[in-house]
Amino acid sequence: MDNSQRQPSTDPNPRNQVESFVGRVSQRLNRHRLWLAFWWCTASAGVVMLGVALVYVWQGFQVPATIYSSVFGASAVSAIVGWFLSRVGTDRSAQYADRFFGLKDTVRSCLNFARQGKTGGFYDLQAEQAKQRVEEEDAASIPFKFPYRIAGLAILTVAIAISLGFKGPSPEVIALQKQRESTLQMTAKANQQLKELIEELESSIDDEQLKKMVDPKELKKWVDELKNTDDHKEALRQYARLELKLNRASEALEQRKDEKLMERVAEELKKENETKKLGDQLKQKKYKEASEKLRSMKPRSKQDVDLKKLSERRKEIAKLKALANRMANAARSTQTNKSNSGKSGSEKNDNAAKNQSASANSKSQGSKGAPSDSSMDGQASEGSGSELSELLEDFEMSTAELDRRLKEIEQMRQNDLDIDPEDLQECEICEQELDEDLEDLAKKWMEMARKRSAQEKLKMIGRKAADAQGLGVAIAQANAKGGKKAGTGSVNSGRDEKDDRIDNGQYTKLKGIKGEGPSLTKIESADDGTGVSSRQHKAQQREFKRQYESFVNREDIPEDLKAGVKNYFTNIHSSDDESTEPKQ
Amino acid sequence: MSTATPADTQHQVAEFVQTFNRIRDEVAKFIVGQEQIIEDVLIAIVCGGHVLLEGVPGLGKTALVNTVSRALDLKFKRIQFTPDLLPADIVGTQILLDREGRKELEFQPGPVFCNILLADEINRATPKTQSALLETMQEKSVTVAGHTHQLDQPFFTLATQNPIEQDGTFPLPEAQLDRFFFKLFVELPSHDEFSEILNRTGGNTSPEISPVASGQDIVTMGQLLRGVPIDEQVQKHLVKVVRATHPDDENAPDEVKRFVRYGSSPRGAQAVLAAARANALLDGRFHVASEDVDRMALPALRHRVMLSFEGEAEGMKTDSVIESVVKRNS
Repeated sequence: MDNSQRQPSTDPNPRNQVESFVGRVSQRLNRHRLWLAFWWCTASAGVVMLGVALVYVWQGFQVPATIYSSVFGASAVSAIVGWFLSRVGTDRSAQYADRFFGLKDTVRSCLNFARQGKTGGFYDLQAEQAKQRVEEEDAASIPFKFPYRIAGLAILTVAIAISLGFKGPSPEVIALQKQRESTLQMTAKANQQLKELIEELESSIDDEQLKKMVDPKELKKWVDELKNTDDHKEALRQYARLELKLNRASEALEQRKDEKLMERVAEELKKENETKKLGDQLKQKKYKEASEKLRSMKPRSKQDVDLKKLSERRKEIAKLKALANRMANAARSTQTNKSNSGKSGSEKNDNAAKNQSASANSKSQGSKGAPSDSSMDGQASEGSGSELSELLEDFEMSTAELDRRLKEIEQMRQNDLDIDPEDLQECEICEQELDEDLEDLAKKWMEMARKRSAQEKLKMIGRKAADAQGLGVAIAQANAKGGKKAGTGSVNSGRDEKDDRIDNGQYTKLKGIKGEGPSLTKIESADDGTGVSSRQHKAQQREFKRQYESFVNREDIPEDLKAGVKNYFTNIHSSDDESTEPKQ
Repeated sequence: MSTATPADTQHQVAEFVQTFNRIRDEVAKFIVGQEQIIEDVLIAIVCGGHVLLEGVPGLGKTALVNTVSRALDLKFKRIQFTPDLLPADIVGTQILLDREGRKELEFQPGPVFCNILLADEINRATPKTQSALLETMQEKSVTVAGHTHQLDQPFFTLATQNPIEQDGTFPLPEAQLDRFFFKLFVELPSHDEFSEILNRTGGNTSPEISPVASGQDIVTMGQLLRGVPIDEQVQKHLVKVVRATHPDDENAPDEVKRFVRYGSSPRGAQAVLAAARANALLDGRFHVASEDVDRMALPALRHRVMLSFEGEAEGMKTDSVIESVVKRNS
């Protein structure tokens, strides 16, 4: 006990002493409350830490030290805040003192009278009396009931929680963490590589048309959406999504039918020595070179009425005509095959007609023969082939027309007849048309070359995304091999025995969303067949033969009836043979 | 700010306590035990209030009042209430007098014109007669034939009633009950007190009671009481307690909500405050404490709380209701 607190004060104002006494009571009560807040918050923190630590340990993880520090910090803050909010003020301290020391509202009344400025008579006597009463009391005598149970609980829970913190992670968790680290590194590396790839791609594309088809900005946006994640499933998903987008974009650049048609044309051109080189280029799908080659074949000689020059010019045009003729024939034969391909063929023709009208529209909208822009909106377009056929036929017609005009002029010159200027003018118009058609065809081939290049580039990025996916799966499986360790096996030798804690993707059930993703059963254009299917017909024949033989071998049937049936089938077969013969 | 100096006040308080103790000691010469009853009666007297003493016959109620009246140098009258008692028998009446050949009506004061009135067995009188006391108890005046006659100061009514005899009795109306400052229950004395009663009253002589205080002393004591300060919080506590006797109050305990029909009036709060002030001075304090309020709530409020039919049927007592109110609001 502090003796100085018990000594009578020399302060003449008794109210000051009462206030001083109340201050000491308040201080003591607040100290007790601080202790209580400390132990309660420590116990709460201990319980929380123990719970969290048990959860971590149960799941096989090591308890992070930051959890302890943060829980301790939070409990310290809450203890201080709780203490601050529950602090005992002057009024409550006075009330407590009155109750504890049995002062019968002496202290509280004294303080309130003083606060209200009431003095004289009874008030001064009351203050003096209050002073005398508080002088007899000692604030230090207010007992502090130490919270043994709470303190014990706090010490126990904190000790257990901290001891659990020293327990290391389980082997499964170590493997999982390793996998997460590997996945994070893999995604970071793959994302970086993809970005570099896109940048290279952007810098390497000079052609504006090609840039429009590939759209590096869109690709960059897709790649920027990729995140460096440690979740291998999410990593696989994001690369799969990228691959899907790239596939859709690539499908939009498909031109199989056009390429097929050009293969036919190439086959046709290879038959002739002069056009063999162009045929090889088309065969090898070097459309850019083929386009340049075609442009080089443009007739150079100008309009002239000189017989010699006219003859040379006719030769040039004749070569061009032969080339155009071959190409047009190839195109026509393709169209013929389509029209002869039975019932399904008629459906295809409908589609072809639609495509043709579509291409006609596109042709009418754009400049004649201008390459159509393929956007990366995912809409598949395999190339109709009909637009190319039209170009080839137009090319053939214009060469034939020019050749005919030149031939007429040449004959008139040989017969020394006067050449009508209108004929010359028409010939000149035909020549311009030929130039235009040739240029259109060359442009078409250039467009095909661009599409092919764009597709290759998109596929290259898609391969990178696929590589990343493969790497992700490999990481998952390499770090978590699954199965039982040596010596931990059971008598159950079934292959379905598994450890659910190890997630290496082996038991992952893939679940797709209907309508999402590319179809694996996509129907691609194939060579149109020229023959008629005979499978059903032969099966019918075999059935007839079997019935016939079984009937003939039966003994219960009279011979004349057998002979009648035999003649019947013989007649049928003979009529079938006649009907299947091609009509002349 | 009080104009009286602390020294003067201290002197007055000392006088108050001495006088009070003198009266109490004087009464205690004759009345054995019953210290609490004596103190409460004296508190009511110094506060200027009337007291209703309830108890079975033979417990010394009348003797207590007689002794108090003898200890005080005051004019004492007693009325034995019976069913045939008339209001005029209490307050007085006008009588025709022949003065020098002239017939004059003159007011003949009744027994109520005194300082201490003992209304013995007050519940035996009819309500009409009982109500004759209403004006005297509240206004301390009597009105007869249109003329109001002031009573002497101080004036106290000390009434007694028997709780067990119900035949031929008329329960006091609420309005009259409310005019009593205290209602006190006179209990059976203890074994030792019984013996002492026999010792004191069984001989040829009885203790001599002499007046130890005058009417002016009582008035002065009452005036001093009004200056005893009460803290705002304590006063709030008092109001809370009194209001909690009403079943509609939010602080009312379940007993009040279930068994009480009407609670105390503001007059009850005034009685508690005055009595608490007296109790504080007698306790040696210069301020009213919550303890004083709690202590005085029972005698001052028990007759002001009306039980409901359910409360009556359950055998509830107003004392237990008030105790629960005090406990709830402490």
